[in-house]
Amino acid sequence: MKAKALVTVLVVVFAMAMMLGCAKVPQADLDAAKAALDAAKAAEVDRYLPELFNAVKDSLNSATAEIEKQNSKFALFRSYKKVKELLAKVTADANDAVNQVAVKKEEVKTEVEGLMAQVAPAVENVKGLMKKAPRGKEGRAALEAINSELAAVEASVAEANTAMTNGDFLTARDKVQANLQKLASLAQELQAAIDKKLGR
Amino acid sequence: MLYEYNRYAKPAKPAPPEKNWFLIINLVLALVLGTISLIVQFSNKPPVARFDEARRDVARARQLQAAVYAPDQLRMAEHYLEQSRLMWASENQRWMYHRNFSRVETMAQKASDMAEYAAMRSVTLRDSLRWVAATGINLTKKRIADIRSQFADMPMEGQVRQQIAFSELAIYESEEAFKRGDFRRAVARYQIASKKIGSAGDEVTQILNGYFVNAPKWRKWVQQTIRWSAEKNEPVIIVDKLAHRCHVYRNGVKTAEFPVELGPNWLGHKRQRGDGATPEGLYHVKRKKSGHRTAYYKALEINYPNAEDVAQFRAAQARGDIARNAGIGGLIEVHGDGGKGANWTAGCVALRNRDMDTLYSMVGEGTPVTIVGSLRGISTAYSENSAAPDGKGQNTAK
Repeated sequence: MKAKALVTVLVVVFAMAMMLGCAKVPQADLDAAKAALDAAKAAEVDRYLPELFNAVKDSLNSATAEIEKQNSKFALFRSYKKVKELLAKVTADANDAVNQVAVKKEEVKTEVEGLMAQVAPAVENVKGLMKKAPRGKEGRAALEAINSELAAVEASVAEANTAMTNGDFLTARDKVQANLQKLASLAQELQAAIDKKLGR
Repeated sequence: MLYEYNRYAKPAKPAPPEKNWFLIINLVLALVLGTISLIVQFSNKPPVARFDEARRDVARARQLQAAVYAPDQLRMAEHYLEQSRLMWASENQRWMYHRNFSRVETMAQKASDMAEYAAMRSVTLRDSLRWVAATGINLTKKRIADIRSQFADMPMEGQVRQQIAFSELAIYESEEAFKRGDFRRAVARYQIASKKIGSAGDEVTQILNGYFVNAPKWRKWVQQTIRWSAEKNEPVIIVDKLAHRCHVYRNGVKTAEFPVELGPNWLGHKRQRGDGATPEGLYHVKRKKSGHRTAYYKALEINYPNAEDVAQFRAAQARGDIARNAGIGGLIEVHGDGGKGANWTAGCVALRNRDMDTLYSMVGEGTPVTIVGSLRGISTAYSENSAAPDGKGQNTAK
């Protein structure tokens, strides 16, 4: 009787060990991690926070390598605990990156909106200075030239608006800053002409 | 009762030995575990270290911005890494003893090699783009500044000015992209700036080439005028429109030079009334004016239009280049009230009043006035032209 009980216990232990040893790849976790990385890419994490994106991508590669490492082991000795941890981290980091990029984008967007708000007054300033600038024979050609350049700036402002609408905030920022620089130089040129006229 | 030996009796069956289950199971387990150990021991090991190294190499390439500067190579490295993983997964499907990871290792090595190449290419290209962008930005800015300063007073179509403005905007954008380390965009934007300023420069060059078609004629006029001055020991006035300078010669020797301002459309010969152009040709002072006789301090009215101007005007009208009801214009003068820093006259030549005083005293009615596009050839005219009407030109009267 004693022996039979022992055999039963051993068989059960062996069966449990086999069952545990045949642990399955955490496919759902893997799919979730891949989806989270795809979502991060779609959110342009790779553009706005490239280092973060690279780290998450590498973590996923590391997790898939760990899966194969475990798969290479004898069924009894496989354990996907570490894989699950890694994949959970990938998913969490990717989700966190999406949140961070949203914040970053919002920051850039706010910055660009702030810069854009300066464009209209700068254009008005140039137009105001044009009214004050020498308009006689000696000023006509110069004013025409400045008008042509102002038209170029206004075309570029339209491009910046398009970039902004398309969510390309970095390009919009470059363009708006360029526009402001150009408007400042036009204002400076006009101010110099006005000062000269006034004999300052 | 005594035990009685019966030799014919069947011997008693010995009791079967009791089975030792514990021992049997242990032996079986030991055998199983031993077999497993042997299989594990003698099976090929998965290339964990090799694969991890390849993965790290790919990550390093990414870190070095290969996604931006060597995207094709990085994609290839990632593809090899994935292939290596798939091969590994495929080998894992086989029975342990039959697994062969050599292809996995080879592919991982390929991934490593390609990742290293991507990293190296990325660094090289990034450094090279940084250099190209920095150099390109500086050169383009210099070119824009040159064109702006050299041709600031040249009558240009609004379109050309817009090209210059677009070029400036693109170069500013390039600088912004450079600041945030996006060298690829910085290069792309500076190239647009360079193209636009190049196209503006080409248009200006084309205009100048057309302008300088008359250079031989101008040279002849100038030589003829100076020779006349030498022969007659008389003063002559020579106006260089491109340089915005008025020269006075006496006895064939230059005795004075003044900065001048012209009409807004000074580039080219005057064709008709109201075109804002300053005529080119051999003229003379028809009348000296001062006081209430001129609105511009003092004036030397020249005999525009001369016979050649009239002939040209009529020919242009006959060709239909000029409207039938257009006039040829007149009352072209060398006068005062200059120094405004712009080409503002209706086609006259304006000097600062103090220069006009000097000139007025040097010449008389009948003094030849030769107006030419330039005293120099096109190759040197613009490199040396610094006499824009900024009102700061120096009078060099002797």
